Amino acid sequence: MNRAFLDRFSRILALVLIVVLLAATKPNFLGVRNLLNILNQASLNVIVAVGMTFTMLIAGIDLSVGSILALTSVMAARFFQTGGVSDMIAGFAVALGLGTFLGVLNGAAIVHLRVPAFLVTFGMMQAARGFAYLFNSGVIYNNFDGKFLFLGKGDVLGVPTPVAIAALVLGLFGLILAKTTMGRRVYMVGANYSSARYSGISIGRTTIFAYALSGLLAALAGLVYISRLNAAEAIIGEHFNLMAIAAAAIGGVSFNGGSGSVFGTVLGALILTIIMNGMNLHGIPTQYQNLATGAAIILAVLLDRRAMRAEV
Amino acid sequence: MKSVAGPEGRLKRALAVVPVDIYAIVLLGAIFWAACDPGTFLTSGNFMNIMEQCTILAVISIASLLPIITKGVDLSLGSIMSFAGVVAAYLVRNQEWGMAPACLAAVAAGAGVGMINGFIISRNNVAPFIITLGTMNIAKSLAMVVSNSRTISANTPSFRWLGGETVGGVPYSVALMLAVYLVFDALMRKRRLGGYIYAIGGNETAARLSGIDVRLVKFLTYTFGGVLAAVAGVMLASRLGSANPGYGDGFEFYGIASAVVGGASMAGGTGSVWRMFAGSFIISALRNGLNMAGLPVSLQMIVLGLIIVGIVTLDTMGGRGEK
Repeated sequence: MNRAFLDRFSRILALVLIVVLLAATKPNFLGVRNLLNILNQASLNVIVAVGMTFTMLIAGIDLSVGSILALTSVMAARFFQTGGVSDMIAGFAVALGLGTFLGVLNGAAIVHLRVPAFLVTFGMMQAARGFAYLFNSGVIYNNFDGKFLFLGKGDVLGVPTPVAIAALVLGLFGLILAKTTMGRRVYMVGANYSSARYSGISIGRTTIFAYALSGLLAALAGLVYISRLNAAEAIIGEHFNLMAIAAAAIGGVSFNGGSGSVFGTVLGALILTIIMNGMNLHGIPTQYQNLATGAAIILAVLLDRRAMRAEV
Repeated sequence: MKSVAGPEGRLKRALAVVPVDIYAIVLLGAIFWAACDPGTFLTSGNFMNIMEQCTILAVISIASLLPIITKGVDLSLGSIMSFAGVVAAYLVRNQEWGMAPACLAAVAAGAGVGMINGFIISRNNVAPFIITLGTMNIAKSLAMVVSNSRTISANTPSFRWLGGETVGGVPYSVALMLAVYLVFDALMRKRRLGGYIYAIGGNETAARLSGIDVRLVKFLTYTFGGVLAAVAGVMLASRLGSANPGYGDGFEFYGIASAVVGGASMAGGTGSVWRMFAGSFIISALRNGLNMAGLPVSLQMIVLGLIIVGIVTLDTMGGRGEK
C-alpha cells in the first residue's frame, strides 16, 4: 500500500470506526436530529479550520483565530440589532474587513519582520483579545434582528444555514487550493521554501494571502457564532484556535507544510466533533474535552511523523 | 531561521555596526518610565511589591528559558502552574494533607507533564510548540477536573506561608526564588549539563556528533520546566490563598517575554539566567508601571505582545539570531 492511499483512507477508517463504536453503544447517536446537530456543531470549526489549513500548508500556524473571531464580532455586533439593510451591510463589512486586515498584519509581520509565525500570531492573539476587552469591556450585545439570526439559527431547504455556509466555504477554498495558481503556490511555499523562491514565487504575497484568508474566515465564523448564540461579548471563542488546529492536524495537514487538503481538514473536524458528541452522550464531564482535544493533536502529529519516516 | 533578502538589509547592517544591546534599551525604557512618574513608582514599598510580583515570573521564566536555549519553546507552562496550584490547594483543603506533602505532590504533577513534553519532543522531530500546545490543554483539563472548574479557597496560614511570612526580613517567596536562581545559575555555567543545553541550541547536529545525549538533555530541559512551573504555581496559589484552573493563564507568554527581553534568542543557543532575571524584573516593573498608569490588563497584554514581537524582530535583524 502506498502512502497516499494510507493517508487518504486512514482518516475515513478512523471516522467509520468511531461512528460504528458510538452507534453500537448509544442507539440515539444515529438519529437524524443528532447527526444534524453534529454537522451544525462542526460547521463553525470547519470554517475556521479551512483558513488554518492554508496557514499550515505554508508551514505556518495561526494562533490568533479565536481572538480575531472575538474582536471582529464584538466590533460588528451593534450593527445587527437594528435590522436595517445598510446597518447589516456595515456590520458584515466591519467584521470581514477587520478580520482580513488583522490577518494581513499577521502575514506582513511574519514575512517582513522574520519573526516565527507562532510568536507573531501568539502576540496577535493577546493583542486582539486585549482590544476586544478594551472596546467592549463588560458589554454583552444581544437581541439581534431576526434577519441576522438566520445566519446561525435558520435553515436553507432543511439544511441549517451554518452547514450550508461551511459547505460553500469548503467548496470555494477547496477549489482555489486545488485548481488555481495561488493554490499551487501555497503548496510550493510550504513544501520547499527555497525552490519556491528561486522559481519566482512571491513568498510575501503567498504568506499574506494565507493569513488574510485565515483572518477573514475567522471573522465569518464569528458572525455565524454570535448569530447562533444571539449574543456577543469579548470573551467568546477562546477554544477556536485549538479546535481548528486539531481538525487540521487530525485531517492530515502536516505542520511542516506542503501536504494536506481542506477535505482532510473537514474529516478531522468531523472526527473531533463526533468524539465530543460521543463524550456528551456517554455523560463524560465537559472538563475532559480539552484533554481529548490536546491528546488528539499530539497523537495526530506523532502519527504524521511516523508516516513520513516510513516513506523515507 | 529562513532568510529573506530585502529592504531590511540596510537596517540590519546599521544595527550590526552600532554596539547597542537591546537589553540596555529596554532597561533605559524602564528607567524612563520610572522617571516619568517618580512619586509612586520609585518608592521602597512599591519596589518590594514589584519584587514579590517578580518572584513568580522569575521562576516561570527559567522554565521558559531552558527550552528556548535549545531552540524550542514551552507553551504549557501556564497550564502546569494552574494544575499544580489546584493540586496543592485541593490536597490541603479537601484531603487535609500537610502543606509539605501537598507541595511535593503538586511539583510531582508538574514534573509529570514536563516529562511527557520532554519524552515526546526528545524522541520525535516535531515542533515543540505544537506538542506543548497539546499538553497545555491536557494540563488545563486536568486542573479543571481536580478543581471541578471552581476556585478552591485554602485561606489557612499554613497554606499561605510562601505568600506572607519572612525569613530574616526577606519574604519566603523571594528566598525561594533566589535559591532557584543560584541552583540554575550554577547548573548553566558550572555543570556539564548546562554546556550541553547551550550546545544543542547552537548546533544540534554538531552536539549529537560530539557525543552529547541530545535526547536525555532535551528530556531534562522540559522536565525542569515542568518542575519550575509547578513551583511557581504553588507560589501563586499560596500568595493568593486559593487556586483556580485559570490562574496560570498567560504566564507562558510573560515567561517568553522576560526571556527575550533578557537577551535570549528564539533561534537558540543564547541566554543567561541572571540577565533573564533582569528581564523578568523589567517585565514586572513594566506591568506595575502600566497598572499604576491605570491601563487595563487588556492594554497591558497589547503592549507586552508588541514588545515581544519588537524585540524578536530586532534580534533577527541584528543578526544575533542567525546561527
